[in-house]
Amino acid sequence: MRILRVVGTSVLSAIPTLILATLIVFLLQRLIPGDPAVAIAGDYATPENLARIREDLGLDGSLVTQYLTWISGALTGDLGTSYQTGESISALIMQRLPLTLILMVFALIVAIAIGLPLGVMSAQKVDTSFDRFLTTSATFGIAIPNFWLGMMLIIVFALNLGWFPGPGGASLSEDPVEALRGLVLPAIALGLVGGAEICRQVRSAMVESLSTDYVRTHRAKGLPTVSIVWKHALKNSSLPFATILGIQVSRLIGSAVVVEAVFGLSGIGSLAVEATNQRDYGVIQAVVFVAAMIILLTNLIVDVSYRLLDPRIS
Amino acid sequence: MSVIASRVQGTTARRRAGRFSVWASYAILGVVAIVVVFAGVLSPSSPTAQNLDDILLPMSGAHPLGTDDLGRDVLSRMLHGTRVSVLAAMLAVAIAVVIGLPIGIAAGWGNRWLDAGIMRVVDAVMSFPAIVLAIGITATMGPNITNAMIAVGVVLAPAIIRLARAQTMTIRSETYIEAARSFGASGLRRMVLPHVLPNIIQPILVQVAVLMGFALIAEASLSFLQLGVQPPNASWGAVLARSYTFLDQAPMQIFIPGLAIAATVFAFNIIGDEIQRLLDPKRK
Repeated sequence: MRILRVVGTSVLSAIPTLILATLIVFLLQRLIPGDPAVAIAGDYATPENLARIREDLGLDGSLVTQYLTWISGALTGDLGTSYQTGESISALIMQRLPLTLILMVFALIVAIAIGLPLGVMSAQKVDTSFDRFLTTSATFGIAIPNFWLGMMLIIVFALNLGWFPGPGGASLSEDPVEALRGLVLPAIALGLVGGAEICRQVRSAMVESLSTDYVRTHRAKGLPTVSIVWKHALKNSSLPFATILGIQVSRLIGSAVVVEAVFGLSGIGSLAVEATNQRDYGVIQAVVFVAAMIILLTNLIVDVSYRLLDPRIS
Repeated sequence: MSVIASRVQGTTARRRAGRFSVWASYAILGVVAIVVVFAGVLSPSSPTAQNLDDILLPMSGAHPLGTDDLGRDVLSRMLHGTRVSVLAAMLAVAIAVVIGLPIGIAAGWGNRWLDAGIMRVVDAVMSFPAIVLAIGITATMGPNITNAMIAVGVVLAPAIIRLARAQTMTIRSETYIEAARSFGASGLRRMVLPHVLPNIIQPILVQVAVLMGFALIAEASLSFLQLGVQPPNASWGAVLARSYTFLDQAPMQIFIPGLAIAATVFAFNIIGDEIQRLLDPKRK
């Protein structure tokens, strides 16, 4: 029962943010300079075409009516039709989203595999030259644009060594194995930079955990360091770790857009880029909407795990 | 040598190593500042002058960084690009501060409802991945560097709002503010500008340094996606985007713009840490 109540409270408290976020996505369309119908259909559109687009967009109704029409569609999975291809935008998103999600999971695994152990080790040897070296390297890692790192990986591992496919990999539905192989380099490009961030954040969370009284008690009663660090202190850092992962998901979606463009992967990032080049505003709006929904969902999961892990938050 | 002496020496060595990255960062930012001011004087040729007889030349005396696929001098493009990238990042951060500072102070200073309202909007903006929202705004407003940086400024503003709000809340019950209030100080000119702003500005400066790094990467990303600086103009992102198209013929050319971005962002982050350290009252 407790879990239901916890989920319920979290969902309820997320609703105002959800409404405001959808309002922001809706208002994006208002930023189109001049007449949106002309911007969408191009300068040489026929009057009938313009009238149809105006009707589709509901430009004749009031702003509130327009928002309600759009949001009721969006929340039931109807994101409108693409003005360039005439396809349903929801279908386009569903076609592209799996690749982006898989890429993000891969990248998150790489980031955790690098950042967590290094962060813990750094915290254990706090203020030594090893710690300083790691922290400085992590600061440099954070500064590297991950799409540039992707290009460097392409040069070394695709063009020179030929271990992994270069840009423009196979499609996920036709050749899944080759497509997954094509995700290794972009996942490393995303994950290395993410790992550097995780390393720094885990370090500061663990430095705090390791300086607490109960850790000192464990040490005093002779518990082996490995067990103190990896079992007790790390468990006590699980709350900040949940936050760190939440932030990483948000960062990863943003970076994935650019990294997808570098590797020619057909995820929702490159969908946004294509839509931008074709001035397909509905698709751009939908990608922004979906990205925000993924983050809101992640925040919700982090919030629920917080409430479940820490009895002090009710 | 006693154990204590060797320990003290170890600490000094570590401090020196830490100092090194700080000095290196000052040096990097100094060079960047000089290039921003003197890009025109330092460039051997125009950043947009094409010479189709000399395409994709390797590094040489005449072209220290080689030429691109249109025969343009890469060094000149990098130098001019530095000015464009850094000024663009400064514009974005300035927009974030201009939006964020007054709203943050208002949220921290004003009544509970105003604060709750502002923080809800901030939460909503922060539920978007910054780059994706910036792409959405830029793509809709029309792809050019000014629009791109307005968009980046808008997505960075919540970071300043949150910080300014938290700082304002900390100082609003301090004795000196109470004292000023008891003398009848209120409003923007008598309270906020002389008493609130100077006391919250230091952490904001740290944040500005960190945001400069973020804005530089955002500029590079948006220009790489052709949403920022438009051809034939140069910026770090634009040079990177162009050299990516002939990656297999001249792989070395993507190295320089990326390194310039990474080094500058690193320097801003280190300087941010350094300002924070200097401002820490617990510092010995």
